[in-house]
Amino acid sequence: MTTHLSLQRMLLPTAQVSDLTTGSITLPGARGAFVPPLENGYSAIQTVTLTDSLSTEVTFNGLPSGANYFQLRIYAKDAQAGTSLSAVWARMRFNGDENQNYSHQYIITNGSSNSSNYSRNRASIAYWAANGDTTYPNAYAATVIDIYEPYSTTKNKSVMVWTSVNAISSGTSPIHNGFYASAWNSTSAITSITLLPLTGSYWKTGSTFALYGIK
Amino acid sequence: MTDTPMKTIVDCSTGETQTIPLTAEEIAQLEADRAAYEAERVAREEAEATREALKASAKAKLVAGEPLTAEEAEVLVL
Repeated sequence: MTTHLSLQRMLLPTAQVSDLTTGSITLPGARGAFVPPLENGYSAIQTVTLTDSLSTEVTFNGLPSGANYFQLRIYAKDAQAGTSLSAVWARMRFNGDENQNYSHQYIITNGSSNSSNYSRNRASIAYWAANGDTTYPNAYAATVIDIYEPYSTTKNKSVMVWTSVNAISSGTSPIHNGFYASAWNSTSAITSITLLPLTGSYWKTGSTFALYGIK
Repeated sequence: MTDTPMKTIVDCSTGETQTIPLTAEEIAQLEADRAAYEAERVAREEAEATREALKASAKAKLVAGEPLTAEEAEVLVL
């Protein structure tokens, strides 16, 4: 009987009552209680696929604690109309910072020629995206962005970007592959990440942005 | 589908995704940014076309043994 009662106690569901807005020392806030913290290793945080035709930007906030690195895996396209596929600048900002606190240097190739350059005191981190929506509506750009020690308050933030813009078709098919070493000149912890298309343009429907954390 | 530019905000702590229309001020800035970028793009492409034309002319003159202009020499000098 005693054993049976003990087993019953073990199986009984428990409830935790907590303040939904602030939490407390003894009772963690509901938000923190039901959203799992970042686990050790590589964890998927959130993924969003755009369904609106006039999407100007995507922002990730409420970032989980404990991440040593963030990684973004993006498969996106600039919605600019056009009959030729080319690489256009997409942008990224941290904490809504629109000041000239970013820099980058890059190496890119289109399969027949290479180029490199650098730019300092920019208003965003830039990388290539695909346009040419009229003729190449299905050519999206694959991008991987690594953000190092996003919560450090003693280090400026380093970012590495790889982008591949490919079009599979007959004739001239521009292919742009690039590597970018970028930086945000700030020791502030990152609280939000914003991805924008070319200045004044939109992300195309179907563009996907996936955020991962590494602990 | 909407005619108003939108921005997407993903709250990673709750998993909620919000699609919010831009304000009138943001739309105005968007249009101004687009116009400025278009003007810069046109200027950049015109400059590149001019440069390519000078290179082609310089190359042809070199082959023909003709003197180059200062502008043509400028695009060939590394």
